[in-house]
Amino acid sequence: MSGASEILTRKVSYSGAGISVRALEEDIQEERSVQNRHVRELQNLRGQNESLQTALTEEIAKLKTLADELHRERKGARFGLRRLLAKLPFAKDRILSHRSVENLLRQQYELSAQRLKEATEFADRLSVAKAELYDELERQGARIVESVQNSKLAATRVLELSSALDDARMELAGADHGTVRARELEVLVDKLERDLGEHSARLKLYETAEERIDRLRDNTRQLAKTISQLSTDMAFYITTASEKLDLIAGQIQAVGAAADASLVLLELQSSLDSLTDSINHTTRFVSETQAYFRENVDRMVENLQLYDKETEQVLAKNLAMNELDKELRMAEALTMAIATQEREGGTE
Amino acid sequence: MTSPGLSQEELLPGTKLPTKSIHGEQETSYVRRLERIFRAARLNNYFPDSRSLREHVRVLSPKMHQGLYSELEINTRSGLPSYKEWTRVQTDVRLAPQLLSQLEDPARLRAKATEGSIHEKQLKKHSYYTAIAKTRLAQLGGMQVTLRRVEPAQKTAYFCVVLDKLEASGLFVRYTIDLHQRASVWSKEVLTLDEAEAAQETESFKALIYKFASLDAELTFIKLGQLGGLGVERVVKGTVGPIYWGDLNVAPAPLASLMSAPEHVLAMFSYHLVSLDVAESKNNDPLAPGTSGARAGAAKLGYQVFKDRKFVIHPQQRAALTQWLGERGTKNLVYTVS
Repeated sequence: MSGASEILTRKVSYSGAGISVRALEEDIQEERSVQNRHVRELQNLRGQNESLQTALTEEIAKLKTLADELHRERKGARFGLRRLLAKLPFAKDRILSHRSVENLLRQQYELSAQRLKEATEFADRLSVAKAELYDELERQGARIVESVQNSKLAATRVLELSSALDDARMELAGADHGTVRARELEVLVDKLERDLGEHSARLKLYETAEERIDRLRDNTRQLAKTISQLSTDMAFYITTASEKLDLIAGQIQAVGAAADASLVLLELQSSLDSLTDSINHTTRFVSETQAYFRENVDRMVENLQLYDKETEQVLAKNLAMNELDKELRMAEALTMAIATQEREGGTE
Repeated sequence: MTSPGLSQEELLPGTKLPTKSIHGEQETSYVRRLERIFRAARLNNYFPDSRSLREHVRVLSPKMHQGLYSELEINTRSGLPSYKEWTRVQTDVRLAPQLLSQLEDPARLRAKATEGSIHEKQLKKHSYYTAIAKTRLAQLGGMQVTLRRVEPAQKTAYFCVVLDKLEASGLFVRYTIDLHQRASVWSKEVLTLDEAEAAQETESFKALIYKFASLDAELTFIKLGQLGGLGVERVVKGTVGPIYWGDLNVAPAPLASLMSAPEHVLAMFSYHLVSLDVAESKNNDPLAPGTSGARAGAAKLGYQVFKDRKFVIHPQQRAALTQWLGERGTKNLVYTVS
């Protein structure tokens, strides 16, 4: 008996905040909210990616129009007509020049620079999301470790209490009914049963918490990986596009002025091809990223919804427990405790 | 598709502008001195707006962007920042409000910022975009047309056209053109008036002036005068630059003797006027060719040409420049900045 009393008076130092069904439910809800926020953010990033793609597609169309127009100029069709008209005495003073090539190129360059800036900022936002997801992973990992440690403590206590309870019951069975000793043993059995119930529930909750946070961590890991890959690809694209635009910037004014001045278009066409090619690469990249987003984000949203149902079932089951289920829970907990002990014994 | 013998970087012969990249203390010093040069030059309304130039350039300073950009590219031919850098500032200022709305609250960023982290970078961006959001930008290529007066009896409207542009050479120019347009069934209008009598240039006229911006004022005057229905009264071209820095670029032969130390600077601001109401042609610009009263059509059109240039230099260069100008027979304004 003194052994049982000693067990009852010894406190278990569980780490972290206390756990209860309500506390676990609130924790899981909070974890889900954080994760939902990340998924929504990822969907938002996908939306922004779509606008970037649309804007870039429009730029391509403009660049192609400009290139086509310049190509026609080079062929001399319009210019030949203008030359002819310029010779007519009543018309020559009235012929005004066509649009400035330099002005068009610069406007297009400045617009491209703006798009590139938006893409660069987008990439930085991806980096922020990635950093926060990896912080989240660390935090979830720490919680899992805490849950496992607490499970171990709870399992040890459950085994101790179970053993003490068995001893107390056996002694009670052998004692004469109504004697002082029998009454003391009845009180002890009640206390042991109460403690066993409490620590069994804790063990179950810690095991559940570990399992559920582990699943959340899987989702978080997947999100982090998706964003990390996208961030890497974006950084590569931005570097390439920046180099292309830098190359063009150094020449675009002079090229445009030369075209205006002398209508020499061959090398200009090459410049535009170079710029157009880079934009083509960009659009292909963005299209591929869209597909990647669609596959991964939608699937992760579905997983979260499925996870919600499972959580609710487990927690509902715990909440619905009553006296008739108590023995069943304790038997389950005992099995779990033994398994935990064996597992820890194997790894230590 | 490059011509044989050309490097990948030079798609059109002679068009790749020579540049040099600076960073750190040199970058900070360059921006600071450039701002002071613009201020010291005391530019009037015939030059690109001085305050806009100064504010635009200030955004390039490392103290403003806090290291978000690693270097500054200088066009060594003009001595001014390259077109890419002027555009960079324009892009950042225009996008600043939108980008600020996408950044997290600075208090949250500060709580998470560690040295070198993405949150630290986002925090710097928040500070940078907040500081530049209301920056007055220099015009890289913009035209404004104002109505001066209308003479209904003569069916004539008088306009003033101002074009600001960063030229292909890397210099900033402002063209100020006073002209009048006579309504005629035989001529196509280049400038129009809406119901509120606000003036608007046609696209083709804008293109014409834009292209002529790289030519001299006199040729622009002659070309415009050839357009039917248009009468040109005055063309003024104010140019900012080039600027020669002792530690960045090399001055051409006629000016090389004026640059003998790294801290020396030679900034030039030329003013070329072609007008019907100037008494006689005069060339007070030691670097410009003589007035071309001999140009075909000058006598017919009745214009005169006045050319001038002012300088901003380091105080140590004053004596040398004064002598140099004296040798060329011109009397020019010279300001100093240390």
